[in-house]
Formats: sequence, structure tokens, C-alpha cells
Amino acid sequence: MEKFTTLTGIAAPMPLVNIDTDMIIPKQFLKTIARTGLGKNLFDEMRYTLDGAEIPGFVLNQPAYRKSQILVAGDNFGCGSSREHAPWALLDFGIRCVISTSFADIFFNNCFKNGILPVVLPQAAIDHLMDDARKGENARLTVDLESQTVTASDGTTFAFEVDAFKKHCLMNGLDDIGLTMEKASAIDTYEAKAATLRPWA
Amino acid sequence: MVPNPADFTGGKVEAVQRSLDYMGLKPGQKLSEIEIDTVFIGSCTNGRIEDLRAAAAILKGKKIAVKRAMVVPGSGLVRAQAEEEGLAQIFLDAGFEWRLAGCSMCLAMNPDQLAPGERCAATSNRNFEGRQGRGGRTHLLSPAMAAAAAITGRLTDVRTLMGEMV
Repeated sequence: MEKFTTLTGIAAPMPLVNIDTDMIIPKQFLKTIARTGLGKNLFDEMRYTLDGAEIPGFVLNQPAYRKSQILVAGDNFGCGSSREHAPWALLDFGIRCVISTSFADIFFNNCFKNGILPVVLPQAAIDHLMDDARKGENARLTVDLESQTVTASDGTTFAFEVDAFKKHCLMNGLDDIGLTMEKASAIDTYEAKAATLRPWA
Repeated sequence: MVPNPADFTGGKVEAVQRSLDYMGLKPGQKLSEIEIDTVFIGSCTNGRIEDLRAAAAILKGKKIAVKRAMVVPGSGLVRAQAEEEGLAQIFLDAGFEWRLAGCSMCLAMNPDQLAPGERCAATSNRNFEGRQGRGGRTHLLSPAMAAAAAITGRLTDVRTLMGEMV
């Protein structure tokens, strides 16, 4: 998993509340267990017409936001199904950070396991960052996980809370397998010992 | 009654308006005036034997007034039990499709999908945009209410059909 330390990038404004996982990645794309390749179908139904043409009004289709790495979104982002494809699709598009007033629980946790930082800030901060994001590619936000801050293009800084263990994992690029592999030598020692003590097992 | 966006505050105003636009509904419209094209009973949610009994009790001796209606039992065991209890025959006689257990139109990953603008009374658990097929309109309700909608062709308070059962 890719580490997350600091990120300075274009933020796309998505002021909708309750952006659900069906919007993020519709079900017809769930027939894969590969984590890559889903980015082109991120927000598929909002982004493309039925015959596959881009809908120009959708934020990620606009020239300024095609390389967005941050989303600033309305309340309750990621509600709906537990599909892990939702963070996979965001990541594959290039989104490394989503900022909202609140997140659905499963989506929130899935982000940390895929190298995405979900940032929870109060409504006033979201309003400020949303206005900033509307300025397009000239307005870059900086997200610093170490210092737990988001800095707007005008220099205004907002501090956010993050669980210490989740922060550790994200800053070191550790998903659950990565965490386990950190103990690889202890596991090998145990396995070798177990093989001697219980050769029948 | 369909809610009015003006009765909400904050980000919900836009969210409610967006929902109404998507669903093709107007504020103040009576729910009982909403016509239904498809009825979907079952999937893992509301596909228990008790759910099928409740729906069958409403449907017994009646015919559907919608384009398409299907029952998807919650499991193979539930399906077998429903056949044993004679429920499957009630659904079939009413004009429902009697399907194998599975996700079916709850997730609509298979060909069981709504066409754009098609309106469905469903007992599944999610009514997000595009959930049952792009542009499809989902109304979530109980198995008995879904059965009532199947008979009348519109959203219907099932109690008005229950007579002495109430």
C-alpha cells in the first residue's frame, strides 16, 4: 500500500450530501477483484451518458479537475454498500484524500486500508474548502497527515483528528497484510518451532 | 404524501430536490397515486419464509396489475419450504415469476434490471440512484405492501386490501 504523508493537489468540489457507494462505483463494475482499472468508471452514472460520452458539467470531466487528488464533499460520504471497490475506484482515479463533515463507517475504514485519507472537518471548514476547491486548479489544498492539518490556498489551516493507529498505518503504508508481514520473522520462528513440536500438524 | 424540499434545511434541500427529480415525483403528490411497473419481492432482505407467507396471504386468488413481478426467496431452503407450503403456487397463479434464490434485482448485477424511468416496488434494502438499473426508480416497502402494489398497480396501503385479516 502506498504511504500517505503529505499531499498538495487539486481538490474537486462535490457539494452533494449522501454520496453513496453506488454513485462512486456502480454495480456493473464489481465483477472484478483486481484493485486497478476502476478509475475510469468512478462516478460512472454522473460522469458519462448511457452511450459512454462524457457529461461536460460533471466536475471530474472539467479540464481543471481531471487530475484531482482530493475531493471535498457533503455530509455522509460513502454511505451505502460495503463494497471495497469504492475506495479502489477513487484511488485508481488518483484521489488520495476525501474531506467531508462525516463518512459512512465501512467506507471510512476501507479508505485507511487502501492508502486514502478520509478527513473529517466541521461544516464551516468544509464551506471554506469547498469555496477554495471551486477556484479550480489554481487552488491547491495541502493535506499533512503528520501535523494533522489541511491548508487552503489562502493559507487558512484546519486541524483534524485521526486515530493514532490508523495514522501510523497510513504514514507507513501498512494495510492488514503489511502489518502482519512486519511480524514475519516472529511468525517464521513460531512456524519452525511448531513444526518440531507438532510434526503431525 | 411526497415531501417538499422547502421543508428541509442545509444540504438536504438540494438532496431532496435531486431525489424528487430522479424519482419523477412532485411535492405534495399522494403516494397512493404513484403507479408501479415492476414488483420485486425477496433477495436476502425480506426473503424469509414469513415474508413470503405475508405476501402470499395478500396475493391469494388475485392477479397482478403490473408489467412484471418476481419473487426471489432468501435461500434454497426457504424456496423449498415455500413450495411445500403451497406459497409458490399462489405467487405463480397471481402472475409472479418464481425465481431461484439470489441477489437478483436488489443489486441488478445480472440482467434483472429496471429500464430508465421504470418504477419498482421492491422489498430489498437500497434505493440509491441507479441501484436497480440506470435511471430505475425504486420504492422500498414490506413484502405485504409490495404484494398490494402488485395487485393494484400503484402504491397501496395493504390494510385496505386485508378486510377481516386486519
